[in-house]
Amino acid sequence: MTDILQLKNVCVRFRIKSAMGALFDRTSPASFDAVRDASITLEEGQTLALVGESGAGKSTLALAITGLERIAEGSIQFEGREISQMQANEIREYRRGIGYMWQNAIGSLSPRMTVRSLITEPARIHRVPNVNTRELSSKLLDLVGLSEEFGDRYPHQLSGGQARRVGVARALALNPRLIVADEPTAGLDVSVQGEILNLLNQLQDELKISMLVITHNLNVVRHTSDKIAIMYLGRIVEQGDTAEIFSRPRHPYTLALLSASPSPDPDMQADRIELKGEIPSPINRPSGCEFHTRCPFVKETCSESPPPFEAVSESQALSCYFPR
Amino acid sequence: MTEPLLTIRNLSVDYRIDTGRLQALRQINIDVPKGSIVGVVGESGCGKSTLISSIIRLLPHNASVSNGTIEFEGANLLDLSENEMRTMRGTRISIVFQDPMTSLNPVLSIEQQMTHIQYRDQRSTSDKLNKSLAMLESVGIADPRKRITQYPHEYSGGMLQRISIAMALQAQPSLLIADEPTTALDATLEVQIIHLLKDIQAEFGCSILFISHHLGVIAELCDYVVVMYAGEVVEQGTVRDVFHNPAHPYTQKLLECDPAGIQTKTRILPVIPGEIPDLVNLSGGCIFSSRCHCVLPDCETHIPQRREVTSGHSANCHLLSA
Repeated sequence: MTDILQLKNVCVRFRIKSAMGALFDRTSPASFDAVRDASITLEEGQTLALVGESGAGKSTLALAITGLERIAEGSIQFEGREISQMQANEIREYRRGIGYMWQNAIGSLSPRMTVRSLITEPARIHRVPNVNTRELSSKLLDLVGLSEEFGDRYPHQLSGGQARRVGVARALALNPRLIVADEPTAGLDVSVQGEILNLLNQLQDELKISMLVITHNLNVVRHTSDKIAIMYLGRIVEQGDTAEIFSRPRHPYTLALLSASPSPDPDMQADRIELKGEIPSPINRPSGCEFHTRCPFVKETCSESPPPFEAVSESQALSCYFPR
Repeated sequence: MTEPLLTIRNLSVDYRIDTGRLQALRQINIDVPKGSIVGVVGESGCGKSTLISSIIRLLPHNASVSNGTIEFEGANLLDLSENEMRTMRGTRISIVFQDPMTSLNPVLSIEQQMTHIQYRDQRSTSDKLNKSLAMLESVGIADPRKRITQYPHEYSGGMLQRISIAMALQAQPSLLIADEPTTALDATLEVQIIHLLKDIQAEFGCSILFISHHLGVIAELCDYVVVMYAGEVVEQGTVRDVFHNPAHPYTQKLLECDPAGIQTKTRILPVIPGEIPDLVNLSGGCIFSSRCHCVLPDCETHIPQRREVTSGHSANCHLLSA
C-alpha cells in the first residue's frame, strides 16, 4: 500500500503579538504552537481518525493539510509531493485533490444559493472546463442519496442530516482522492449519525477515496476508521490500528477518552477514569509530559522531561513513560 | 414511587403556523417524584424544548396550551398569573440552558450576574457575595474569590456550565430543569458535569428534569426516563426497566442505533429509516407507524393508549395489547 498523505513533525504556529510587541515585551511568548511535532500517515483507500478534545489542534492540523494554514516546521506530503514548498497556482491544483467537509454543515452553505449551485460551485471556482451543471449536480445528489428535487432547495429548507449530505456532495464535486471530514456527525441525532457514517463508508468502498475523519467522539470512528491518532494539546499522544486502540488502549488519555463515553446501560458502572480540570493553554505548556497535569497515574518523572513517541507494537505507538 | 413534585397530565401544545396548527405536544403525561432525576430523551423535533418551555411558561407567542394541567407543589402552573409565575421561576423552578456561552451576559462580571440574580433577597450585598462564593465553591470552581470578578469570556465552556448550575441553584429551587446541559461540552467534561449534577442533587435534595438526546448520559444519571417521539411520550419507566427491557419499537431502535452500545466492528450502522411525520396533518394512527418495523393493521388507524408493561413501566404501543 502506498501512503497518500504523510505528515512529519508538523508544527503550526500562531503569532499572538505584533513584531513590536514581541520586541518590547519579552516576559510572555510571542507565539504558540497549536500543533506541535505531529506525524501521521494515511494509506491510500483507508480512513484515519483524528480524535481529541476541543483545543487539541485537530481542525488546525486539517487546515494545514489542505494548505489553508501555513506550517512553521515539518513536512506534509500528499501523493509524494511536498505541499509547504508549493507555489500559489500549484496549491490550487493540489486542493482539487482534497474534498473538505466543514464542521458546521448548515453554516458552511451560503443561504442565498440553491443546493444545485452549491454543490457545483467547486467546479466553477476551479474553472473546470466543459461542465454540464445539471448532469454534475444530478450525479452528486444521487451519490449522497438525495433525490433530484433537493437541487432546487435552499439551505434553510434542509434538516441537519440533509445539510450534511450536501456537504458530502460538495466535497465530492471535483473527484478528490482524499476527503477531510471535520466532525461529520456533530449535532446529529443518533439515528441520523448512523446514516452519515454509512454514507461515508459506502462512498469509500465505491470510489476508493482515502479519508481523514476528525472527531471528539471515539464511538463515531470505531466502525469507520482503520487507524486512530489521539491528539492532546497539539501533539499526537497515541496512534495505532482502530481495533488495537479499542481492545488495548495504552495511553492514560486514550483510556480516559474511551471511558468518558457513557454506555446506554444503567448497570454498566465502568471503572471510569475521570480527568480533573480542563485542557491547559498551549501558550503555557506544562513541563515534561504535557498530560501530567490531568493524568490520574502521574508520577514524579512525568513532569521532568517529555516522554518520547515510541512504538510499542508493530502498529501502535505512544508517548508515555508508564503505559497501561 | 414517592410523592410527586411535578405532575403533567394530558398536556397538549399547538403552534399556529402558516400551514395550519402544528401539534407539537399531544396528551403528555409525566411525573417527577420528589428528590429524583427524570430524564427526557428523544431526537430533534420530538418536543423536548416545547415541554420545558410550557412548564416554565416561556413559550413563543404563536404557541398555546390547548389541553392539560401542570401540577407543581399542589398548584396548577397553567392557572397562575404572570406575576405568580415570575416568582415561581428562579425560586421554585430554575433552569440550566444548553449553551453556557450564550446564556450568560458577556458584558457583566460573574459577580454582578450572581448577585443580581438574588434580587428577591433582602440581605446585604456582602451576604449575597458570600453566598455566591459558596455556590461557586460547591460546583467546583477553584479560587472563587478571584475568579468571581472575571467575565464569561475568561472562562472555558465547562466552567461556565458549572457557573450556570450554581446560579440556577442559588435560590434552592425544588425543581431544576437541565436542557441538554452537556451537549456543548467535550466528552471528558460531560462526565464531570454529570457527576456534579448527581452530587448536587444529593446535597440540595432537589428534583432534576434532565433533557438530553444522549442515551448514555441518561442511563448514567437518571432514575426514571421518559422517551418522546414527535410530540408524544411513547414509553416511560425506571431507567433500568426501559433500557434493559424496551417495550416500544422506537425505544428499541433508538438503543440499537447508539454507537456506544455496538461492541463489534461493523461497516453498516443501524439507522431508523424514514423521517419524523408532519405534525400539521396527523394521520389517525400511531405516530411511529410510518417508521416502525412491526406494524399491525390497528397501528395505522388507532392511536395506541398507554399500557403498563410492568408496574411503573408503560408504553404506548398496540403490540402490548395484541
